[in-house]
Amino acid sequence: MVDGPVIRRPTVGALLREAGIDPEAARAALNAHDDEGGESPWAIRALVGFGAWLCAIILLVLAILLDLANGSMGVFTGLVAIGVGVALRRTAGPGSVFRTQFALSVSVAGHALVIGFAAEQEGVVTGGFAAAALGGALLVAMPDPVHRFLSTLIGALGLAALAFEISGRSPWAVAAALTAVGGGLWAVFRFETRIQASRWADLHLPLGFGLAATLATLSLPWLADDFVTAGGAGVVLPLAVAIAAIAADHGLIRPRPESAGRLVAAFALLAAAVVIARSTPGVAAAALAVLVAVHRGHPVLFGGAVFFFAGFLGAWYYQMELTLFAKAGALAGAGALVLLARLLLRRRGAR
Amino acid sequence: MSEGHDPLDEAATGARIRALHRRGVIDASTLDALLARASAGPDAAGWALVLDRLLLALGAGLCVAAVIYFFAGNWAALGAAEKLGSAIAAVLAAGGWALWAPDRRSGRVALTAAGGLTGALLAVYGQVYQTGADAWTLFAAWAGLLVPWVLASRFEPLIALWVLVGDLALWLAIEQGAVSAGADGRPGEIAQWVMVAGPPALAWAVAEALPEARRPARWLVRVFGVGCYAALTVAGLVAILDGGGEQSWAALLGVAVALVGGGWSLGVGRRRPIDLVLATAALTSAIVLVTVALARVVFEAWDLEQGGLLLLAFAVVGQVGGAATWLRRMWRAGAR
Repeated sequence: MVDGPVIRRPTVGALLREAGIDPEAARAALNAHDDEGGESPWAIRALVGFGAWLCAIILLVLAILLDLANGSMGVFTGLVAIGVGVALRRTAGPGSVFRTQFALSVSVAGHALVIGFAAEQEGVVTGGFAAAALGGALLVAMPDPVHRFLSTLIGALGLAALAFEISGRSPWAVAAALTAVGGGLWAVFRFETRIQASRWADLHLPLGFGLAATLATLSLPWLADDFVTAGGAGVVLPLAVAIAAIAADHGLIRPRPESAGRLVAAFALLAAAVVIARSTPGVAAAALAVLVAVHRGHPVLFGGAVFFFAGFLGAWYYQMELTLFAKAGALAGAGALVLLARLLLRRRGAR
Repeated sequence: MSEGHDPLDEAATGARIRALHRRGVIDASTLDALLARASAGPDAAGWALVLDRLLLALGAGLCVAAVIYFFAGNWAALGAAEKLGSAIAAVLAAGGWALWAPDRRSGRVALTAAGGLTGALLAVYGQVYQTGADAWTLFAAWAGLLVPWVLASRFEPLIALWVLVGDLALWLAIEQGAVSAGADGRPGEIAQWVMVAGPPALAWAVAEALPEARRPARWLVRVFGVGCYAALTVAGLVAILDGGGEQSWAALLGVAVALVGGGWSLGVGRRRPIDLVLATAALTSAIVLVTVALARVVFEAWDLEQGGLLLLAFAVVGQVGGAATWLRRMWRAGAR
């Protein structure tokens, strides 16, 4: 629905031309950067992540068969596996693809052993704490973008599980976690330039994409019956903040007395649409991710959010607590308000 | 492949800009300026355009979903005339908008919505006049009715909907016994999955054969290719785990489609640069099938346990590592 160039970053060459920088020196520098590993396209990173997950499952079964996953032995084995994974990855040279792949797999299997043992033996609170602690520590310690993405996801989900249990399994705790993750996602991309210029630059994209995946995952409980009445509106706040901040950044809400009323009305309609569709937080979460993706030019995040939107709406059909008519009413109300808001914004633009 | 990879044509990510700074091509102040420029996003006019399209797609999508949810409820309080009348009115409203603004984006979105609503109308017809016909006929009729709209608009989301509906019709036809496999009756599971790979494979082949100017957007070609690989992978898994048996013809057909599609994805016979996403999908499919086949050999033929698992783990690392290395090499040679 959105032409590619609108959500695509400028190329390196275009930026250098604007800044009047010698392209030959830049080309040589970037070729050398790629020779040393550099960046890989997202499809290759996804394949590496899939391979690590597959291999981790095999290693986990192996640990169980070897009796290394029982009781405290499981924690010990898991911690050793994580340590070995970190050591292997930190000492891997540029282009050590096999070593990197093995390090990822060993570490992911180690995570499963430690968190699984903690949750099974000591309860979900300990499991959540273990996940949050491991995620936080390895986000910094493991110098691998795929692992950092997983660490963000594991850590944030661990914190959400912790909040859920401590609150007495209240859906509002998950809604609060959704709000926090949504706000965090917006903040990570809002301050992209500052983070990219700092010593934490390597954490930026894994952290951002990890939070986006967490946002999607935390929307899924609303497909279960217990969550329907609670907390979907929890994503209203970060969504409203994101829209307002993005609009302010780009002069969309610069005072124009002749059309200010229409703009306010359009945003009010959008807010009302989110409130009406509050039992579908997946829709609002996808909308937030789409906005962030457009804001910072990340087409992969955009594509992922669109697929999640379609998948969530499809799965919501099977949610049993609300009748199909109640769902149809929520969707129709939200859809009509969104189309009305578009009409108002178009008229404002035409003036 | 021959054009090669120019790193200056890549997106200006933070890592690339920082690499320029680390290697002394730009100074610290230029680093900050380039980082800010690279992530600046659209300007005010660009934002207006983006918001316009996003709100149109979101609003239309939610409204179409609402209509489908509504009629799926089969509300007893509504009579046949009201049900059919409201479904027809919804199709006419969306179709009327499409006719009123055929060259505008909103018109094409309305046409796609009318395409989706046509399915709801057929479902309502099936609810009201229960003829006992199989569900696949509904999907087949729906796909048939979409043909002129697809040809007239050539709008990618509508094309995707059309292929999906056609594939669902085929799946249901096989499930409900409408497709015969000779004396054996209903095709087996392998044949079913190979057939399901057919519509996306055909759509993919047609898209690739079109001249550059008429080819649909790359995302749609990728969706077709990945859909084809997904169905073939399931067919392959069934063949490996259950054995081919009397369905050997289907297995052979599946292998042929996989070889042609996979070869094309990996660059055999292509004059254009290969598509990295489709090449990755082909290799992922191959890795899954090889790993499962190896597991059968290791655990059943060789009767290994722990040693077999270790062998499998190394096999996965080897395959994924090799695939990633080759894909990176292709990317640097010009693959996109």
